[in-house]
Amino acid sequence: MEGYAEKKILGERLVCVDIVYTDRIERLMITGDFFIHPESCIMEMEKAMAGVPLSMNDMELRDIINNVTESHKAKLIGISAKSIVAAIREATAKKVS
Amino acid sequence: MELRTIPYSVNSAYANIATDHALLESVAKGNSYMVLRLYSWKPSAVSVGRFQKMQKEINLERCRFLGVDVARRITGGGVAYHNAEGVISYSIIAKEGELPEGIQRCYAYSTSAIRDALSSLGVRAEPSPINDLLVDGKVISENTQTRREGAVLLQGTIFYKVDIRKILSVIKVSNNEISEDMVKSAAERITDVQSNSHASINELREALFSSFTMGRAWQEKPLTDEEKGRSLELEETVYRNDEWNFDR
Repeated sequence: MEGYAEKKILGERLVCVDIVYTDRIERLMITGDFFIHPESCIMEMEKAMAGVPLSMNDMELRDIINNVTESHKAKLIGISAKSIVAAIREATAKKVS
Repeated sequence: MELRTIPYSVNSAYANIATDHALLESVAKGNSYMVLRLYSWKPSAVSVGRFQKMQKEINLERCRFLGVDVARRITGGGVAYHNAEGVISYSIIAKEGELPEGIQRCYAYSTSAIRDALSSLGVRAEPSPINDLLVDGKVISENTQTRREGAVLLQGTIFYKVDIRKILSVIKVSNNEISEDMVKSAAERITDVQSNSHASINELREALFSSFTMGRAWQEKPLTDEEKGRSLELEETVYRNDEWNFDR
């Protein structure tokens, strides 16, 4: 299945996800007008989320993202693990034709 | 601290992005000290941030019709319209230690310099976190940055003369025709130097140059042959290609 959702948490910028999924995340693409340094960290987050079961709770999903952030010593502006996970939940709750 | 200034030039979006990338590499390798580059765009171009989806943000058909280039920046942030002869852009490229520490302080550094330049032209602008500069609550300058291998690229655009109808037609704001309400609403969010000062675009460029070089010894040094070659290589192999521009 495929999904798409946009999230804008107060104080952040627009965070969008395109997702291909079964009971797991097959492929994830994070887009939006946020800033992240280094930029490659987004691609690492997308890789780290591939294969992750959607049965994980929000905290566990956020931890995967936060681990990538910490291992890259990344600085996030206008985006957070919270907004990415919220967008993933919304995108997987509805089908896109 | 010495500053290397690159002569003002007018280039395509792809050449501008490639030049900044080549200079970022040059500074990171220690082949150049801190760089200031002022430039414009021709043809007009619309650029998306590193992580934006091109198809979602830009009206590609309209850009093709109008001859507006579409490009992806190496820096984050949102869509920017670079009106040919209507904006001045700057890039500052330096080792991390040569600029204030941290992302927010770097924005404060560049937006303060732009504020001072505008002030000298009689335009009262105030920095607005994260990365904008406002006049009476309306955006007059947008700024962004990236970091590679210990070097920082700070860049931004200062609007001299905005064409709101053109911006609305090349950026996907709505599926509907552009209405007077949409033009009015955009005019309440964006402004330009021309609406706030009698200064010419050349005076804006000179004011920006004076402000960014204030208190520093500077020397004009054009791109080296190596930097030119690298810039051309990046332009042809990366920044003109769909693989990069439609990466997302």
